[in-house]
Amino acid sequence: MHGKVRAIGAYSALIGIAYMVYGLIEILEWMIGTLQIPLSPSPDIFAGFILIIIGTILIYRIGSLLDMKYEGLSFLFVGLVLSAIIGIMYILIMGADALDALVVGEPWNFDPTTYNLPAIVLFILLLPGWLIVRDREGFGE
Amino acid sequence: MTRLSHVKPGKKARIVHMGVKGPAGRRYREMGMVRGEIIRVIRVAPLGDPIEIELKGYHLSLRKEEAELIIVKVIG
Amino acid sequence: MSRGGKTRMAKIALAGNPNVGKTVIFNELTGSRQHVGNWPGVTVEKKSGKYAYRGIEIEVIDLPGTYSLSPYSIDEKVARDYIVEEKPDAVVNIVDASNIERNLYLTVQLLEAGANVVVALNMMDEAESKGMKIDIGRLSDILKVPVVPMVAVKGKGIGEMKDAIYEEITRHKEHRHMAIGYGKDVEKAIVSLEEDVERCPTLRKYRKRWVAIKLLEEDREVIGKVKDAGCVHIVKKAENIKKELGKKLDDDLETYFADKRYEFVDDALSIVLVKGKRVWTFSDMLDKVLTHKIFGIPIFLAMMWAAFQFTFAVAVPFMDAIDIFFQWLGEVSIPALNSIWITDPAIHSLVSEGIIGGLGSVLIFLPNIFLLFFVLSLMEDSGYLSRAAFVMDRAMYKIGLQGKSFVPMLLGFGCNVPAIMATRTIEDRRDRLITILVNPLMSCSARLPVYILFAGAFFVGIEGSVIFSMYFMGILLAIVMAVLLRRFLFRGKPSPLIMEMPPYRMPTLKSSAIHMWEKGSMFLKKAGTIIFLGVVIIWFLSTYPGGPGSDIETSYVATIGHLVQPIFAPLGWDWKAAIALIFGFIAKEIVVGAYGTFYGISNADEESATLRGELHNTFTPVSAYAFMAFVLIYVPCLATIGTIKSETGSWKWTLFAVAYMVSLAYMVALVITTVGHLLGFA
Ligand SMILES: Nc1nc2c(ncn2[C@@H]2O[C@H](COP(=O)(O)OP(=O)(O)OP(=O)(O)O)[C@@H](O)[C@H]2O)c(=O)[nH]1
Ligand SMILES: [Mg+2]
Repeated sequence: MHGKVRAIGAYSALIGIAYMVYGLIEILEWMIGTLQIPLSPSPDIFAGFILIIIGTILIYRIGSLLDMKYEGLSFLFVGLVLSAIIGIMYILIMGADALDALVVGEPWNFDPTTYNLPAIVLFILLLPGWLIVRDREGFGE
Repeated sequence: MTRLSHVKPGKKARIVHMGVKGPAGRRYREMGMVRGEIIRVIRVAPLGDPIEIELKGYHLSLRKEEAELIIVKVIG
Repeated sequence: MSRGGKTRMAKIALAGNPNVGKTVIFNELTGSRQHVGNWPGVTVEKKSGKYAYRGIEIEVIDLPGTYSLSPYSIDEKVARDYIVEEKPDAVVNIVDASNIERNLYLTVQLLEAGANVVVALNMMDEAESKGMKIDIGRLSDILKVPVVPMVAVKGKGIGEMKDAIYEEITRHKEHRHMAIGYGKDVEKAIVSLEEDVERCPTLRKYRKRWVAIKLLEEDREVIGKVKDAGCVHIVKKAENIKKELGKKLDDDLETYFADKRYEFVDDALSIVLVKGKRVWTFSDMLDKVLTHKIFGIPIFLAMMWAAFQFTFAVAVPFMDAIDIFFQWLGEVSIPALNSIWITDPAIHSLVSEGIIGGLGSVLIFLPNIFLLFFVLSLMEDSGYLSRAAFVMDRAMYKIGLQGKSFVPMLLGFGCNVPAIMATRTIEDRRDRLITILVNPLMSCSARLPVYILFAGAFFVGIEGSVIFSMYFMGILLAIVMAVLLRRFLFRGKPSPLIMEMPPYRMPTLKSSAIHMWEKGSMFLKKAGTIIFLGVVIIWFLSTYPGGPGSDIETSYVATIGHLVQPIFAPLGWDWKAAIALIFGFIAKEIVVGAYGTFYGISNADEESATLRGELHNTFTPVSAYAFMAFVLIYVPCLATIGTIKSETGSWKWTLFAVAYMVSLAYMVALVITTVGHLLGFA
């Protein structure tokens, strides 16, 4: 169990860093305009702020997680929950837009910067983190 | 012996004296804050008040102002 | 049990601590869809429903939650009064098994009051996952009442409960009250008071032991009842006994009774309950971070933003679909009417301009309102609402309110009517009045259509931020008003906070969907009745006396509008705005409906123009923004006014609320106009 926690824990910390980086980029883009960056982050200060929060939560107690403490697990868990809420929200927004194109009868002009792709991609990449939460063996105070 | 408001999060304590008077005092008692009851301080809210405690298997929040009036003995 | 005609009838009540699943059980028993939520204080008034079982027609009353039979807030008083005054044939006491130590305190009190109790031991699933083991048979033996284990959300135990209720109401009522001994001295006092109570005829309907104990506990209401019964001497006697006993026991009697009851509960549980060892639940893990010192508030703000984002973005395709539907309806309606030989131009105009134009422009916002309620119900069902109250209590305290006021404020984003009713859980009258009076400033879903319409017309590209600024302005004004009210009208400190924090629970799609549907269909109902009526009246007033096809400037509505318009002239609004606002008093959606109708009438034969374009003729961005602010602040709707009246019980405060909101609205709109012009905006 410990080995698995260590591997997945370190992995989710990396994703956490990616969240923070993208959050910073989005705030930056909001201030100075869209840049050419993979995953086309949205120039949106609020969204950027949320990505930074998620990222910080994911790495805030990483040591405690690797020590198999419940406190660390709590932070991973909440990071996962927030990542899921935000990720799913953007997926729904994207779906709604696609649906709208269908309703109005016009082709869907897909503009990636409105769907916060980093939030969606990182949510999916973070999914393995749920394995630790599901099993939760060997954790202590 | 100390005041409930001074107990650190994570610590357990036994209620020695309920100093809250009036209807609020009655309500605290009805919710299980009676002498001898063992409670655990869980956390302090982000802005420093109120506090959250656990007793009788449930969670209750109250302000420091009232916790000040509740005398407890920390038991670990 | 009463016998009415051939079918036998019985009345039962569901009683228990707040948030133990009473309403879930009520819904299961009666097939109703009353509001369920994971926070204490969802049900604040008694609700009734019916079911038939083995030939008995049973009326069920769902009561507000209560921690004890000595009420502390209004909702609790409702519950207590029903149980002791109405004397239902059976009281189903719902006990949260995972929280049994505290829940049984009320059970003991119910038994003391002489109620015919059946215990529903609900939430067995959560008790189990906490590792608790409860010996149900022995618990039933000790309490001398039936005990039925249940998991109400999964429908488990409902059948057994119905049987137990049946047994209880058909049982021959002999005394089987379990009694707690309160020690020799106190018992002696109780017995001596009982004798006096017995001699007081109007008190016969109560169990005398209960009255005696409540007198010694100094329960204000019971003392009042005894006095009303003309037996003041008993109260005097109780006071004297109390003094004596107080010295003897070296403790005040109230504390003594509570201690003894908990002693009884603890003794009972030491026999029937095996506690599990403390484990970290998902709820503990969530709380560790969601109420964290650093992360708590940022997460709260992030969640609010996400809720907002979701509500608007996901609604778009559905709004477009409704829009297309009404456009199509507009195209086919006249030919369709002609084809069934309805050629009266008045009816044509009513259908196409009044109903399709007016009502259609309101119904477009149905998706927004549905989604808003969906999001709110996710917050309610998860248990996050109580955390928001916990995190915000300090800030609320600073502005003269308290954490518990925060819940009605958030609910106000949905609808102010239930939000104002939710203030019943606030014990202190002054705290409650302030919370009620500022609640209408929380921007409810009915105001959303106005914002979307105007923001879409004048603030293309920044609609989101403009609409958000309305919500923000409402919150800001609520804070300012709360501070002022506390400073000048309701001096004093907010009352102590005593708030239970329920565990987090996974919101189910089913329950959120039901919630969304119930609230959303209220909007539909409103659209079908009061908004419809308002729109038809506006159509009539703007079509006659000239009749269909005449210039709207010659209509009644123009006459009235021109009469009141000078009031709004400083704000730069024309007579149409004045009319829309006047009718908006009834319900805010009518503001949009009115514009829909005006537009339909003046553009009956133009295809290209849009309602948004039409607005540009009479508004500038500044006057539009001022208009939105006015709509935000002035009285939400008649129903809200009615609720303020019934909840404060005072015309004075109701009129005060209306007066302050209207004048505040005018002032804010004026400031916006003036500042806007000063800054050089048109
Ligand atoms: N796990 C679990 N949850 C339950 C059960 N019964 C009810 N709940 C949940 O408990 C919460 C409270 O349910 P309600 O029926 O609103 O409680 P209430 O007693 O009517 O509450 P008030 O009206 O506030 O006094 C809801 O979130 C329900 O989904 C159960 O048996 N198991
Ligand atoms: Mg309820």
